[in-house]
Amino acid sequence: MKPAIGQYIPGNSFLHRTDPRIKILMTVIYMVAIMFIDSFIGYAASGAVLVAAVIASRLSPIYVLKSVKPLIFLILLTIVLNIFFYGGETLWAQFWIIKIYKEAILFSVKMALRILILVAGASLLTFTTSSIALTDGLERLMSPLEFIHFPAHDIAMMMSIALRFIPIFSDEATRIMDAQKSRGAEFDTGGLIKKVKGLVPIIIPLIVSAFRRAEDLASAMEARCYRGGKGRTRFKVLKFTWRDPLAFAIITALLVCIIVFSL
Amino acid sequence: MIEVKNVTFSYYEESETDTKNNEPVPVALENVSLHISEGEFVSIVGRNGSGKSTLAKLLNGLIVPKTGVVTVAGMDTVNDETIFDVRKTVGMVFQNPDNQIIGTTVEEDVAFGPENLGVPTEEMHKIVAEAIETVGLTKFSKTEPHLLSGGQKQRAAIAGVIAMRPKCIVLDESTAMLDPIGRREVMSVIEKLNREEGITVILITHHMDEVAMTGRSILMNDGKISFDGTPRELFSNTKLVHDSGLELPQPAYLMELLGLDTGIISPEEAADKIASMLRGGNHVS
Repeated sequence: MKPAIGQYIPGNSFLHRTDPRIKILMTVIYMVAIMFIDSFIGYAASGAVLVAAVIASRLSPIYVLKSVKPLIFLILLTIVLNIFFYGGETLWAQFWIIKIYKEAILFSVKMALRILILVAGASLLTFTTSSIALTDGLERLMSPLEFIHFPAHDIAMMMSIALRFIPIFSDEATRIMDAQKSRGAEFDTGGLIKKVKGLVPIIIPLIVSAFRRAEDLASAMEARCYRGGKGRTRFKVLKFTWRDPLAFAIITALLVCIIVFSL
Repeated sequence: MIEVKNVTFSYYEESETDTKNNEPVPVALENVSLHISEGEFVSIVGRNGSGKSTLAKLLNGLIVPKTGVVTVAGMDTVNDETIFDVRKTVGMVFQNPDNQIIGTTVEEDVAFGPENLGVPTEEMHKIVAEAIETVGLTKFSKTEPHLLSGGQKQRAAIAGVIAMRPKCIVLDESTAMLDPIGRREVMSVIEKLNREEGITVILITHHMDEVAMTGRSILMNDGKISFDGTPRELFSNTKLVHDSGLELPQPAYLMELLGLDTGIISPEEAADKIASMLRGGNHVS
């Protein structure tokens, strides 16, 4: 099973032990800050924050770099498109009808940096926070919204069930594929259209089974007295420690500096 | 403790009656009455579609009877106000181990019930640890469920039920998807719960050796109870057993082949019987 952005890597570092709520907030603030930043000094500074965070997570930097790998194509595409189509004033080179401006190059490099830092920052969150802690943290952060009838508990419950069933469905998909292959189905030959068509006999049984599982799970939850978030106590209680305000203060201060200097 | 009175249940609405050929609505259970006392170890057998699972779901109010009454410790399962007390009293373990584990680790899953009941966190940690210990999974309490074997998953599910401190546990074919080792693990846990904690156990199963371990056996046929008595009595009636699509437990089968009383259902008894007959034979020769 290949996770989308970054899989949790168990550890005991400063960042691992920081409260998930703080980490989620930090990541959000960080992402917003990067959206505001529009200078190379700003990018350098936020890059430095990222490096500091990687050090605080005691993860190998290679992991973090790897998390960006699937996006290389997207980044290159952004660069190329921006270079060709983003206008400007200072003409640097011209081939036939293609004009390349200085502003365009600078802009596309900034875009690329922005994507890189964003993704690396976000994956640092998932690298150091288990899915349980993540959903727990999200539920707690969203809980004030319950006053306006926002279903924070339900969303968190759905997320944690979804996460719980990922390995089950991936096993099941493999099983169905094997079953179809043993009856002569081919998945890796032919053109794109044929390949996509080949997926139908996998996806349909998978969906059918998902519904059956959902029904079973609903009975099981009901049988164990589930009635939504009301009156529910928690097995795991999130507690702030000295790390949390500290981490929060440091990161906020840094980001404020970055924004101020780069505006 | 559980009282089922003249219960009829159908998965179809009356209005859904087949207008084309005027067939009556298919009924899953027809006028079933049953009393289960505290501390009993009851098995329910019958072929697929005989109404076993329907009966199980009626016992904790997952479904309610069309006509008739189901009461658990005096509480009617139709009553919405006491339904959670009913479900707390009668816990249920289902067939597919993967589809009933909600938590992302064993201990979190076991805590799901107590969380729903609003048990304070500190007390919950104690209850959860105890429940996990009872089923012998202490080593695995922080393990993710998909890394467990089938038998371990079902034991985790049982722990999830006993963490709610039920008086009765219903196991709806909970051993059907397990290998022999997993089945043995689960059965020994259930037996222990019944014997040591006095928990009433209702075991729905297709495995006759499991039936032989229980104290009372109920046979279902086409939505009706066609036998209610001890497993010994059930298996003595070979015609009923075969007509209901059941098999004899292995010792009883051996007795049948030897032309002896099929009420002998434990290997030890079968051995004694054969030994005494051989000895008897020795006397003659």
